[in-house]
Amino acid sequence: MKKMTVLLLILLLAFSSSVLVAQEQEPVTVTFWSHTHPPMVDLNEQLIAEYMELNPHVTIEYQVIPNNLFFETMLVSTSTGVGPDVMNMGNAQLVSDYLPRGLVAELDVEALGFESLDDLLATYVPNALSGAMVDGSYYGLPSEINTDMLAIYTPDLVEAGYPEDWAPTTWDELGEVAGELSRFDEDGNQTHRGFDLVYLHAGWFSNQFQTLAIQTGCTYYNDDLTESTINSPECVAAAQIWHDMIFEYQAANPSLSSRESTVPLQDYIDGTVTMTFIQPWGMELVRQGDPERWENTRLVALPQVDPENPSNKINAYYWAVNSGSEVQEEAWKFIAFMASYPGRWLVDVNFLQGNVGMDELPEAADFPYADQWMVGLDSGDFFQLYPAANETHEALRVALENILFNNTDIQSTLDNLKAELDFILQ
Amino acid sequence: MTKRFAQVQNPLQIALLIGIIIQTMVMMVPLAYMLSTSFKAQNEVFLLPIRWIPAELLVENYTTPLEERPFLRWFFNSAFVATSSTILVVLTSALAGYSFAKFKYPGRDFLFWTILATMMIPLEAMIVPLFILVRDLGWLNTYQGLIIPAGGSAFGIFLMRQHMLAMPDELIEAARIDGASEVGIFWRIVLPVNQPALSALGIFAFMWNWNSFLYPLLVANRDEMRTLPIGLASFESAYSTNYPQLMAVSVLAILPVLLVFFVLQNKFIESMALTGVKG
Amino acid sequence: MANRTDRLSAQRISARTILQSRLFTYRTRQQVWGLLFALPAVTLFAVFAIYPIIQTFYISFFDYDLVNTPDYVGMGNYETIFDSPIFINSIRFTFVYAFGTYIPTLILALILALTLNARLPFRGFWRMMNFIPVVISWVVVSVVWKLMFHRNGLFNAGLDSLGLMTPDWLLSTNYAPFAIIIPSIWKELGFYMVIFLAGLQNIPNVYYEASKIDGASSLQSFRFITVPLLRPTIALAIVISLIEGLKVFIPPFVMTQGGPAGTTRVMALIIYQTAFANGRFGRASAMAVILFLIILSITLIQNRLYGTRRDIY
Repeated sequence: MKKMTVLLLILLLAFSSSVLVAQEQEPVTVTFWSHTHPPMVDLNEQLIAEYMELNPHVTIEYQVIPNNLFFETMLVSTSTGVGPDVMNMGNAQLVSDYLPRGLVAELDVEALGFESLDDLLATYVPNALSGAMVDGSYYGLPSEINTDMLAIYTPDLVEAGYPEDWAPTTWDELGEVAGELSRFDEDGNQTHRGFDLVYLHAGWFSNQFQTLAIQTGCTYYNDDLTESTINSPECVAAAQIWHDMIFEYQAANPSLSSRESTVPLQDYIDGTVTMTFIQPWGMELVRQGDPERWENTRLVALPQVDPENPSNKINAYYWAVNSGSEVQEEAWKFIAFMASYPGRWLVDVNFLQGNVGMDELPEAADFPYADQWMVGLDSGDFFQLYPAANETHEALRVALENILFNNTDIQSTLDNLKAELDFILQ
Repeated sequence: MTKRFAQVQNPLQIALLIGIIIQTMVMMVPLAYMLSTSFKAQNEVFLLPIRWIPAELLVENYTTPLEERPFLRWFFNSAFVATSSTILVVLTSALAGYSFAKFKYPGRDFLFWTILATMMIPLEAMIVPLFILVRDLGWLNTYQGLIIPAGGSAFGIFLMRQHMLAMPDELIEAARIDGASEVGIFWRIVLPVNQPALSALGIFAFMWNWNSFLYPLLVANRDEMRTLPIGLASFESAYSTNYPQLMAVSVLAILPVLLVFFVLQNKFIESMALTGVKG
Repeated sequence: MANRTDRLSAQRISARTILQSRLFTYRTRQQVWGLLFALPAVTLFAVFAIYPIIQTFYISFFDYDLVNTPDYVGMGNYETIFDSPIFINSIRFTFVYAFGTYIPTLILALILALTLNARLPFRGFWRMMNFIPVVISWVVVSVVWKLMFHRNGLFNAGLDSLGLMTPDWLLSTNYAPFAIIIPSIWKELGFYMVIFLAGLQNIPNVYYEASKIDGASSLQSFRFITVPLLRPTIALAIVISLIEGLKVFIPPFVMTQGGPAGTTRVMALIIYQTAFANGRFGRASAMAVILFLIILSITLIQNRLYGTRRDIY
């Protein structure tokens, strides 16, 4: 009898453990969509392959969305229940478009491999997760955290007679020197720009404007988000900086910029502009686009409106999970895997992910300008969070295009923009 | 040759001939430019003066995009979807046109004019609820979602009704007296008699569906379900500064339609002319 | 007893026989089949056209972001959009585009059709070549012309050789509209040329011969024969082309995305952006209703101006 009982128990154990094993091995498919950033896409694909090898029962279906259709496709698909399980979205959109619609799930601390939220938070620097945090709830892990520096192609500078280590402290200084670096042909048409930004889709206009705005103290809306403050003196000042680069210093010239490329730094790589804003991932892009150009590139801190009190804008992309996903736990596990190789992201793609102890990573030694980037991260701030990101950016772009292409009066253009933005708040 | 030119008798005609030659050549310039650019190297694109024949014919401009993006898949999708919905359009239009032309029943005219009225509504005006409907049906990113909603054509119904009105009633009556079934009459008499209009409609529907943009843009947002025009637009974004490749891809995108056009050109053009001619 | 047997045996008769028997009159049978034949098309339209259209009207009275339950706002959306200078501007520009494209197109098409009608050799060839742009998709047309309108592109190269100024077409708020209109004319010309040509060829030669005998000049026969007999065709062309112009979407979408500074934002584009980029489906539906009403009015006005539809149908 006893033998039978023992036998039965063993059989039961064997049976239940095999059932458990069988359950664990049930095939799962996790869908993942991202925008088109070639180095990031490459590393995504590598990590996906590795993850699938380690977890044979998991299939990750990865799709790369073209940038000009990215925001619409993501929002519509996710809103209509046909979006991906794992998404990679900018912090502004995440908070203003996805959260109000309840489209993203709160962090699943356990699935991510932590015992408590605090344990998780302790592994990141404070700023890293705050871009995806609302009312104390967190919604994503950072895939990239960005601040801006100024990229300078040194040979042009030296040719114009400036010291190799020149760095502008104020915007005026940048404008004047950049203006001298611009070149014109016999008919007076500009052929080369000393400094310029990019004029791609609406997100870019907003991104760059925010870099200036955070220095002048400009916000798109007031604190309770009841009214737009885009026509404030601070915002006019921010627009003025960009405007003057074109019309006063003749450093910048939108009509010389390629306004469509997927690679935002294409103009810099092609050599039609000497200086431009650059974020960490930009370094790898330039290096891949033209290694020689990269050799001769120097990065310095941005000029400041108030050099005594520097401010830096942070923007980030987060990995988040679709709240309608049926495989959320698996999705978070996958994200945890992707986020567990900060060194590789650092070196292969030049993505900063804000982990504590980044500077001690072995790869950090190979990470150019590591110190400056980390400083920017520590002392920087996310821009104000506001609703209807896509709409706001689109309206802002129209206003900026008027100011920058048509040289319209800044105050009145921004006054009109304020009316539109007030509209959006309704 | 001489016989044709014998027709040209007065100076006015000569002037007109020269005029039309110039005009046609001007019209072809963008196409020539597209073809020429598609074989150029990137740094040749904006060289002035324009070099119509590139220094070297870069065939890679054609092969590289095919490797990088799923063009063949997109091509297949377009072909499959266009063919299927063309068949559906021709069938439903013929049936409905026949019904509206040769049958009498309450509500017939109301149905016809209502369907006709839908031609006035731009797709953009109803795309939102249409999209939600397709989603609710679970047809997003499926072939049926691309084919079935595009299976009805108000224009097609109008055209077929027009032609069937002109069909002699006696033909159908005689068949009925002979004991033929209604379906048999439709299949064996009505369809063959109206074959020119049917093929014209088929060509029209195929071209329209092949080039359709907004609806597939929203309904097929997965890469592998995209149709060719959408694929082209997305390619434009990703490789927009590689103009030669972009032009090569554009050439590939129009080849199928051009081929069909050249083979069936008379039918094509006449099918367009049918819209302007009274029934 | 005999009646009962009749009725019982009648039940065993097949359906087909029933349909063919005098129980169902010829008329009823006609009606049933008529409805059956129309059923596939009617179903498709009811489901995929009528229903969405009604829905559009319905949603336009709500605030809807596709996720949360719709919020009733009555005429709120309509008030909002008419307060929006962007929307008003898009109506204006849509008309500018429609007229700016199709008036030149129709005039040129008529001239071409008249030219081709003048018994030129190789007429079929000219007709075919001019028709090629028509069969090419709008996307390809937009992509190619976008390249041609590049600052250093073909168009400017041509202008430069003529000594004319060379603006940055896609960047300039003054010239961007032309960058949309010119390719549209190029694409549509062949289509209307063919329509006019067909209309011209439908005019019996007898009329011209008769008028020649009567001593009429070419101008007179044009004025008194061609124009009146071509009127229905021209009227049809105007209606079709105007409606097409008001519905335009792809060229501004691909070439300028409504820019620069929103100057080429047509109504269809703004509906698309409001719905799919901004997620405001209620507002977008209201805009769509307005677009529909505009098209409807145009059609009704045209109808009044050019006589009843029986002319054309």
